Amino acid sequence: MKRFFADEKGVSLLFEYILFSLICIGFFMIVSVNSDEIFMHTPNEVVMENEMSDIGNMMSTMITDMYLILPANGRIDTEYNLPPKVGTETYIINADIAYTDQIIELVSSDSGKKIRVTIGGIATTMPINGTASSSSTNHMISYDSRR
Amino acid sequence: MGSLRKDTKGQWIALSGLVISLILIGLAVLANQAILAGYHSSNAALEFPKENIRELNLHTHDNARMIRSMSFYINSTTNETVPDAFDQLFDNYSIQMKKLYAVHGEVVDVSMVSINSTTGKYTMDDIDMVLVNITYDDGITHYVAEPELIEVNK
Repeated sequence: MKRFFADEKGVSLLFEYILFSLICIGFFMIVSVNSDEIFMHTPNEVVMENEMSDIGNMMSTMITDMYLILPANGRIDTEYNLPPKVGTETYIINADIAYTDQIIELVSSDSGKKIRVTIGGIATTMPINGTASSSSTNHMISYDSRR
Repeated sequence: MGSLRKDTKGQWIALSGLVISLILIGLAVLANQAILAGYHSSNAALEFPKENIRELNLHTHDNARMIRSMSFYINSTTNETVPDAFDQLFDNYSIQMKKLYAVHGEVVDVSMVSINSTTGKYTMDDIDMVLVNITYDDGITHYVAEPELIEVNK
């Protein structure tokens, strides 16, 4: 073992140069082929996962908060802001399946990624429906007791 | 300087420095993601004026009951009728609420619609319900209750 560390002989300078170049070229090729996946797609996926569930929770919070203070006769509507893009993609908030599944769904329009958020069982007593696109300028949740 | 460059001792220190710096970079990236998470959901919980609207509603309920007994008192000491006294007191309440909420940048309106009396007379037992319009607007959330039914004989 001591001899192994003390031994300073290796390959010739030329062969070492060739070996090193091959390793570097191979590494570079692998990285450049996968660069989109490594540097764009994976971080984007993580950001989208976080942001979409965050926005889904925002919708859920607003709907449950509104449900708590609904007037017996009358109406209430509230505007809210959405980030136009999560990561690099636009998305659609879909509450149409809330009636059966108690769920709000966020669907990314490009990659089709879906995030689902529950709304705490409100939809059994009150139908919730509608869709909102992140790219439209005005977003609103409305309630009217007469409808 | 030459001796510093030729001195090759301390390789492990240099290597561990590199490893520690890489770990720090990784932690910084993770910490940045944690800061972003939960912004919109917590913002929605904070910004939505749930408590303001509820307070306005509860206040109106409480005051309608109070105004009812006050108008009976006014009726017994002066010759003003109960509905007239009720209207006046409620107008006062409405003006005060408008001013109070305007301080916070919110527009509210509380106005009487009618006093419900089962028998058509306005004695202590007959007035059982008051109908009131309540509107609230803070520029983002609009709340309209027309009419809000307030049971006053409880």
